[in-house]
Amino acid sequence: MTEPLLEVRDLKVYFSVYRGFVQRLLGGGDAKVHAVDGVSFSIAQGEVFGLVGESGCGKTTIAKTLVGLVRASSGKILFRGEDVTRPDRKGLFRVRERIQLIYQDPQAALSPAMTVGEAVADVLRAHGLPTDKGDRVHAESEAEIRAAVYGIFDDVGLRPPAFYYDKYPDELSGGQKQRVVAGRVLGLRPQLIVADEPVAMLDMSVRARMLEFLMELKARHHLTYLFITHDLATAKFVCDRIGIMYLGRIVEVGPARTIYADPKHPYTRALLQAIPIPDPSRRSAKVLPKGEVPNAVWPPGGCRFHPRCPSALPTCGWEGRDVIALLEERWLSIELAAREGIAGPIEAWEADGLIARRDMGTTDPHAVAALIRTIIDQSGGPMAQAVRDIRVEGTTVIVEFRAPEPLVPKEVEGRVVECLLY
Amino acid sequence: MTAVLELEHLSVTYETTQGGVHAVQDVDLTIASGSIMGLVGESGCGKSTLGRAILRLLPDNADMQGSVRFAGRDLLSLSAKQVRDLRGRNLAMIFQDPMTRLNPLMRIRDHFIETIRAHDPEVRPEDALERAKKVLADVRVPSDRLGMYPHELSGGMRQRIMIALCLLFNPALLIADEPTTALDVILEAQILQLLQSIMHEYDMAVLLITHNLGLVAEFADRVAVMYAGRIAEEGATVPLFREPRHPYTQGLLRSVIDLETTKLYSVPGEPPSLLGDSIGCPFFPRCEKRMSVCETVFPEIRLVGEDRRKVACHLY
Amino acid sequence: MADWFARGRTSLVGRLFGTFLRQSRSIAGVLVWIGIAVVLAIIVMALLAPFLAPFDPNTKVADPELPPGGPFVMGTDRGGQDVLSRIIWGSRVPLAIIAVATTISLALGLPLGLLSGFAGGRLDRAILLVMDSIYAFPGLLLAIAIAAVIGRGILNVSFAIAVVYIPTYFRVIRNHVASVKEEPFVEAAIALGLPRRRVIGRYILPNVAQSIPVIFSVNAADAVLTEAGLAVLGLGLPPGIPDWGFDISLNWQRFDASWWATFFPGLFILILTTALTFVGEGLNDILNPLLRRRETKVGAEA
Ligand SMILES: Nc1ncnc2c1ncn2[C@@H]1O[C@H](COP(=O)(O)OP(=O)(O)OP(=O)(O)O)[C@@H](O)[C@H]1O
Ligand code: SF4
Ligand code: SF4
Ligand SMILES: [Mg+2]
Repeated sequence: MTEPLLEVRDLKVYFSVYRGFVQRLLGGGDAKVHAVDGVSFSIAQGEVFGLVGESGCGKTTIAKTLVGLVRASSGKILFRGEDVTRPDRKGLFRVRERIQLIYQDPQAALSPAMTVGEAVADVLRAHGLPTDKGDRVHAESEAEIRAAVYGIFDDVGLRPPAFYYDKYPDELSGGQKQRVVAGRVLGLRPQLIVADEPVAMLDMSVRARMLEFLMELKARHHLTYLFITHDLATAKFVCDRIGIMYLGRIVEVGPARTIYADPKHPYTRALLQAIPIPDPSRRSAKVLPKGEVPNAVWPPGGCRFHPRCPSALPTCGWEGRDVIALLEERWLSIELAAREGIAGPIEAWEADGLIARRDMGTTDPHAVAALIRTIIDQSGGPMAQAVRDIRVEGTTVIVEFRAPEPLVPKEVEGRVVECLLY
Repeated sequence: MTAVLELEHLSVTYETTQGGVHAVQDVDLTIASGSIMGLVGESGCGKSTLGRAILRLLPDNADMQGSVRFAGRDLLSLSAKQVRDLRGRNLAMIFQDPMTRLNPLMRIRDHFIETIRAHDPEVRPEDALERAKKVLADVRVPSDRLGMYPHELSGGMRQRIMIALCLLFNPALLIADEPTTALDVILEAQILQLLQSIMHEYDMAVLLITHNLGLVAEFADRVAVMYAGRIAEEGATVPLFREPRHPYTQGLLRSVIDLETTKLYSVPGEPPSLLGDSIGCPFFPRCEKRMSVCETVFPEIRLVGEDRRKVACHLY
Repeated sequence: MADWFARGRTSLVGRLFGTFLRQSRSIAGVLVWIGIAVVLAIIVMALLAPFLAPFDPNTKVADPELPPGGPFVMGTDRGGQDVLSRIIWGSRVPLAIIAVATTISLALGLPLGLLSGFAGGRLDRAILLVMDSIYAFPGLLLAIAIAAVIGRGILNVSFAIAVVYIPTYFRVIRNHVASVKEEPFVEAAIALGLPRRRVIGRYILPNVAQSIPVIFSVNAADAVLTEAGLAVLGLGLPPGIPDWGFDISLNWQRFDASWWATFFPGLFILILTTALTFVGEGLNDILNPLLRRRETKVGAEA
């Protein structure tokens, strides 16, 4: 394979969460959101690479890091082999001419106080007009800029351009605004366009037209796309290759066709299964992953998907807080909560890495340990087999798990998967 | 089968500086008790307005005509106080963004206490909390969340709590306005599964307002397709999806992108503006099957086919 | 006319005017029109003072404390000067002070607000601290202190008042900028590689400019009162210059004997401040984009 257009190696982006002074005194240092936590992928010239995942999994952070709006904490971003991870001011200016972003909400991406023609013209004034030779020259006159904007409007299908030039964003439909946004970006003659959910805000009846338009632009201008979406169905239609993200990591990446034909990672399967099917005659019961995406400040240990994974193994990363979650889930039933009252309340339990513990005070810790043992065994899941031991130390009941098996991305049938099943 | 809600000739017009916006026009709709009615349509077609009109939750610049019969009573003839008492007790509503509906400065427990005491001022806080715990268990939220503030909860939890607040008084009808649009696919499916199981338990009907045809196909018993403030087509879900009759429904169904899509399709043109009066069929400018009558004569709703589906189109 | 402005709307001022004219028939619009009409009338009165005033304001033209009636429509004051003539001439002072004071505070408050809001961080906190400490003083007290130090005169009084209002502009603009800065279109402009000055000038300023006329009118109303306050305390203009506030201070001890000499200047201060408040509050309803956006949100609820 030739050198990829963009290569991202082990990219990490952490945001520190502001915590109150007292909180910091109490709990060692600042907390960090692990927004992107070790992501690698590459995009070949002319390709559409899709990043798919739920909100908060780090897709948009990757997009912003690529265009230099957010600083990478570590890792490398190579554009045509050149390191653009932490560009200086001038470098940033050049990165921005080559990598550009299309936003999810075109209404929000345009200033309500500026006509759409001016929005495009402004960029041309700052960066100069692109020439056929591939460089840029500063415009001689306003008329020249206006002519260039007309050319761009024509290119993105806003015809006649003169009609649109003096319109405010409020006066255009969602699809037209998205065309303006695309046009503004095209004025820079970028090579890579990062499209962050570009059709999510558009009405269903016109969404397809926008997708077709984006594909048409790509062909006409020899563009490469990083297409970010939460919608696997749209990704299937437009992407050559996709990466499925969960909590800051890519869990499965490979050619779209391969992945859709036979998804390997349990999370990919869950996502595919959750898509509603617009055919009421094919309704079927779905087995959904439990719960919600956990907080990225303290991502689960081992495989991040393990608390929700329907196929989890004993080696997937079971830890102290999973015991607490189990008890919580169980005691949703008011009878069970009453029956197992001696082990409660939930707040008295404390998790620390592989360990969950509770100081029983005057209650008999051995009885509670036995109860917890039964509860975990009854849960029947892989968690039970992951327990190293349940013991009593003084008045404290301790549940300890075995350390997880390390996770490494593996090549499986034409794609790379990060899962212990393989 | 009894109807919990019957709308007749319901119209809502917003007075604006640019003129009247006819957000809902002449809508007839019946929701059977214990069923899910899906209301679909594109942004701005008047779905939310319809939902709010039922609860009489419209802003001041809205003018409402027609009748809303709920459990045999005409809501439009009730006093503001009577409506307030019905709201939350017999008729409840959840919204897209639960965060904006929960008071950020109030703990979850106080939301429950306040809601209960708004309708039954005599209830003691301890008893209110017992009731809260029961409905929370029904929506599968651990009761320790009662002590938290809304911002400490995840989006899914908040929406569950909104649902629990609605369940307190066992309403006969729950209006869910895009309840899952802010959520991801997996959560969306979870919440709708939850709603489905709860409505059986509580014998409640649901008006599910959404732009997502897939959700309607999976969960609704009947579907009403709205276009430009009017019902274009309404009928039982299975036949409607198998054989859509109104050209707009046909176009909308074709434009859905799902895993089996092999060819993209868009309805030509743009969604209409609801400003000012129109004559003829509102879908005329975008319709691929339009005829000359369509431009000038408004298509009344007709019952079409053996499933007696309501369709507003001159083709039938 | 709204349309005419709407066409020339690439200019900021044209756009604001257009927005206003399009909604000028609402209740808020009517308020603004009333306010503008009154203020204009007072301005005309000030400009035409030499022709309108029946007597010289600074000479004794009759017995002191004549009640209203006859040639002296509003009576005469304790110096035997015609109250009406003094009111007509006296309108020049508040107007001049409004003009000078609000211009100074705008000229300082706006750029500081833009800078502070956009830069954020330490610079923002430092400027905020200074502004807040000015703001924490009761306005009149601060003006008194400044006026006491720098002395009398239109410019001095204007300056004293201007200092009091800089934090108002600053605060409103800064908070507005800080929220607009978070809007995706600003981020988009940065991502497009536009220089910082341009981002502030072309993307942020136009979106916060709506607040300027609003603060302007509200501050102007306040400035009239503050000036009157200074004058009443004898810290205003040198004696001799007819001024509503000064006239009150001159006559109010004799209120029982000649209420008119105090009442009429007071009435005019009230009229002018009310008119300016009408303009301010009305414009606020019309131009404030947050209010408007909320209105449309109710509908879209997207
Ligand atoms: N308070 C209001 N004043 C004026 N017009 C309004 C108001 N509320 C809604 N509208 C208009 O009424 C029409 C219908 O709005 P509505 O919110 O009911 O649509 P919707 O189908 O729920 O759209 P969405 O899918 O975006 O939620 C829209 O054109 C909207 O702009
Ligand atoms: S490693 Fe694989 S099997 Fe184990 S929890 Fe993660 S996804 Fe599930
Ligand atoms: S009435 Fe005419 S224009 Fe309207 S949907 Fe039917 S065929 Fe199309
Ligand atoms: Mg809506």
